[in-house]
Amino acid sequence: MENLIVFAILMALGYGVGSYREKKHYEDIRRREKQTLHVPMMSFGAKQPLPHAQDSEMFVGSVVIASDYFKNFSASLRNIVGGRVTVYETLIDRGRREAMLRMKEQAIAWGATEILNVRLENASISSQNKNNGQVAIEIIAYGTAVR
Amino acid sequence: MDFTPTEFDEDINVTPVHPLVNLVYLIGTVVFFGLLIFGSLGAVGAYLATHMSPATEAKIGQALASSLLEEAETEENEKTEDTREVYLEKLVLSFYAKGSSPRLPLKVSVLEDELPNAFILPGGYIFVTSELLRKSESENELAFVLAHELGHFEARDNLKALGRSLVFVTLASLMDLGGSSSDLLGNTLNLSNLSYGRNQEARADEFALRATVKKYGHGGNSLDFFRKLEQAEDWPVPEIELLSSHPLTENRTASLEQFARARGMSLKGKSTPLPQQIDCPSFKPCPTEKPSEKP
Repeated sequence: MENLIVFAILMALGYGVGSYREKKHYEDIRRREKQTLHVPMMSFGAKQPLPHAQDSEMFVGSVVIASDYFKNFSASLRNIVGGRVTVYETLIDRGRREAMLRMKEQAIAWGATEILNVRLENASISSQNKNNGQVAIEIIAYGTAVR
Repeated sequence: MDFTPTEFDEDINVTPVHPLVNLVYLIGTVVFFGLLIFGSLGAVGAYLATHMSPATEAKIGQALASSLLEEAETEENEKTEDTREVYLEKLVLSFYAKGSSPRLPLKVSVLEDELPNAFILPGGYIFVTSELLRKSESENELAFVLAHELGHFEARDNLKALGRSLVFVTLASLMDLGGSSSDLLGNTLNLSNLSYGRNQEARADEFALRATVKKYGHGGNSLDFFRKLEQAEDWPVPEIELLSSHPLTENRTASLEQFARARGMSLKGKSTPLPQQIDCPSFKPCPTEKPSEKP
């Protein structure tokens, strides 16, 4: 019985706090995306000649995001039956956009006119205890800014 | 080519499903299929219990009983067979009419235990504790207890009691033919969880009464053991199912008496005495204390 109560508290906490923060984060992301919209980002540039520019510099934006108890539980159920893990989709989406924004904002502060060869990578930071099931993921966005 | 920034606000990478709806769907699916599997295991278990071949049952019984059999065969009776077991087996077989025999060879073992107890495992392994023999005052009384266990055996209650685990036990014993895992099987399956329903107990009681009346011509002294159990309220409940794993209800004897009356069975008659010194191995005088080790 006590286990059930602890489980319910963790689920409520995970859902309540998790979804509140997610909502706030999305508002923030949308606002900043509008602010930085004027600088174009491109994924080409690795084997193509870069446009003529005076300066170029690489910028890296990185973010580590952790899942919450509610998402973990939903995902573990999803692991049984299979299908799209929709609870993690928002998590990864937020991480990707946040990393991209961090990179872009840095580049804009430097005076970038465009950002080329943008790449995204991720690395999972899992806890030592495999059974714990805690998931954290680092998303890294990097690109070459020119001005 | 000039860059004209365009806004787009839709999240193509996020499936528009509310997390709670998603969770309810997931829990529903898992619970539904969980129950389906649980239910079908129960149905398969029940089917197996009633349709299992004696050979398979013997194999399962061997695995389940191995640890208890070892316990019964420790100490001094290791070398010489306890002749009480021969006597008890003869007593059990006497319930079968001439020419008919049980579906499996029945084996009776005596367990050293402080509780008066008797139980039967799948495969026809009957266990009787030494305390039960000590407490018994007549053969009729002991025979009734044995016949009660036989009632469970004939109704396959001992298999039905395994329930869902019977499916796994059967699979395990069929895959591994009496090999190393049999010990494991016997130890992992919690024997103290085996219990019979009230109805099964009542059937076994009636079977026992019928059998003893047929054997002795009357039901006198047959219910003595139950009467003793009723009077001694502070008898501890045996760990493994038996007569009192469900607290012995007062009306159990009463309903048996009624059962006998309705069928015109007499519950009075001369009791058959037990063999002398039944409470000691092989009917020999009990070693009172450990023989002192004199030089």
